[in-house]
Amino acid sequence: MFGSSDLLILVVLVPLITAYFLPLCGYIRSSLCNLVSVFSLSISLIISLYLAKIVVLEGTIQYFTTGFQPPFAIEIRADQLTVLMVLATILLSLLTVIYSRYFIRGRFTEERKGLYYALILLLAGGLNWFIIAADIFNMFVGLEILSISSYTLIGISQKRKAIISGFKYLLMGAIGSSFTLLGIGYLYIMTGTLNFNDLALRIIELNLMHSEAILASLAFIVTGLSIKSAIFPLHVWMPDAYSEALVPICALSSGIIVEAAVYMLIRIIYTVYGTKIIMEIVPITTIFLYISGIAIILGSFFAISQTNIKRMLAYSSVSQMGYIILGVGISTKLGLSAGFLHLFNHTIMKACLFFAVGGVVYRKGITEIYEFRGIGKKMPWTMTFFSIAALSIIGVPPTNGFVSKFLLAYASLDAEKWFFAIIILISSLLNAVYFFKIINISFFSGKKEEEKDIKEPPKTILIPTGILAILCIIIGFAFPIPLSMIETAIKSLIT
Amino acid sequence: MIWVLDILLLILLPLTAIVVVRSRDLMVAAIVYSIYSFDMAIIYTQLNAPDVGLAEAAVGAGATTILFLIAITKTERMEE
Amino acid sequence: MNLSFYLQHYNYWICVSLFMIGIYTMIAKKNIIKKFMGLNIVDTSIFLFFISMGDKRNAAAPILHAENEIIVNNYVNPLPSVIILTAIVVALGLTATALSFAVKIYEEYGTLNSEKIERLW
Repeated sequence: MFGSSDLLILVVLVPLITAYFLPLCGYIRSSLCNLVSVFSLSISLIISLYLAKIVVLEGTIQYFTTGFQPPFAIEIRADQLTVLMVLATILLSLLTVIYSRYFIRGRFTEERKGLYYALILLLAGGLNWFIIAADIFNMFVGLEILSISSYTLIGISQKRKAIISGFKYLLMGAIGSSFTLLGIGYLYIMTGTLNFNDLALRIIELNLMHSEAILASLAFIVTGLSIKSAIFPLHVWMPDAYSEALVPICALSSGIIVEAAVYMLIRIIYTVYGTKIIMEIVPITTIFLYISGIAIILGSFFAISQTNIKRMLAYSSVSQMGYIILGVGISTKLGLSAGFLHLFNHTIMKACLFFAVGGVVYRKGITEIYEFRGIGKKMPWTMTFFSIAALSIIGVPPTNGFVSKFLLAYASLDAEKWFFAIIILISSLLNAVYFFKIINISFFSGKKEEEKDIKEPPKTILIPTGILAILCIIIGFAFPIPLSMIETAIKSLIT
Repeated sequence: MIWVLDILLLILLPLTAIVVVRSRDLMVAAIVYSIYSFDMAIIYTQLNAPDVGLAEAAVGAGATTILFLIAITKTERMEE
Repeated sequence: MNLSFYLQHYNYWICVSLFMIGIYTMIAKKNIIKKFMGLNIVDTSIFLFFISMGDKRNAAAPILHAENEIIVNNYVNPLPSVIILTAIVVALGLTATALSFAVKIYEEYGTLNSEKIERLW
């Protein structure tokens, strides 16, 4: 019988194995693909909920693939933070698959639909692999699986520009992967191990704190994962990719792929290198602090100047990634937990925004902001969900965005970095500028022309959007639950 | 005296890489890339990693080159 | 850290120069397929780096000859080989994806020159 630790590997295996059967289903009957992928991801969701319960009650789960103990075995582990990430991944992939049922109708031929769902499931499996790895090379393999499937997903679209944006993403991402692999090489040549905890021990044991090779590995890994996570100066692939890709893929990419990369970046720099290297020897947290300040402000300004709503949301993502990095920059326990809380909140908010925009795209096929005139009267539910998520990103009180922004501002005041509290306030105002513009256009101006045929998108598009919008408000009240889980994990992360 | 062979093979690597970069005919570049990969495979075997040598000979010199050739026949041969 | 140390580790010099050649190709060459050849050169240079670090002087490949006597110092480290076996396959997958992108781009735009594509965009 399965033990609880054996269940952990199923989170990876169930989506990955299903992914290989989906093209077959596509040949038999294309409508089967959607059902099979929903079924598979639902099973994964149940497993991950059960895992979350176990982890909260009993603590960290470890699983070794061979009979040995680590560092000789390949280890995967799940602490409270990991379980939250896995939950977010599976939930968002499930909603994306449900959402895609009507959204991709007519965009692909019947055989291709199977491949589309297979790629999404590969992405989900790769993400889970990437997240639960406690071994730096396993992390790399998971990273490659998720990257290759995400390049392809960004590239498939009706528009010809999508191929070019996918190609640009591939070039940058491939350089990022190579850099990560090189960094792993430097770590391995100095320490002779790959396990996260063992690496941390060896670096202290062998007195490698000031070794140039270790610092080079830090530089390579941070650069490589920063490209994947679109941290400010390396974000250039993101707006191009999102403006052309299919909307569900934008939601998935912006909601979870960049988040997973930044999560792994934080995990590696804290567990492997430890606070002494990243704060004193190479002040990487200070660098992140200033980068985050620039990213928050510049991302908001770029977002204001956009006319395409998907590009605007992409630049908004750049700004929001700045908040998460700000948590690292503050580098106190409170700051880091606020950053991680914002990471999960951003998953929900940004996916909800993209889903709502996708509803409009499905009915009208528009992405320019001025064309949203009067949409709110035709599609009240869609635009209401959009407004809830937008208010959440701005940080209006009963939503989850307010909680994490408030905690970030409080943490920066607490760490006597009051300047960044001011930046958070200014950025909230800038966010308000561009989101209220859309809300205003869609609800309060209009009657330009009466189009009778515009109505709400189908339920499979509306319901995932609604679930995420409701989650925005629920987490706004129930934030202590994820926050306590994050804080427990961070206590072991920062020692 | 095996180290002379080692060094010759190692020097061949950047030379073939430069030919790959400089040649304007993509077909030539792909074939020279195959030589480069095969050279790399021999070096892996010399460095006591025969399994990687086999894999590189099959994957690098074989599969990757074939992929490049297929891509070149489907697109254009000369670099502009 | 004297000159002979650097001269003895000549493999790594080749790795560095190959890495640089590959990065140069990815940045400077306009042709998309050429860029991916550069990517492959970068990848193989990293593989060579891993394999070089696993090697030892006067040691044999990690294949078990006699079961009774296993002296660890007589065998090279097998772990980098295993890592690189995985990474080679991953690189093949990446190349296949990239080349399918290149073919698709050629079908849509009729050129592989990245500057021309940028103008057509």
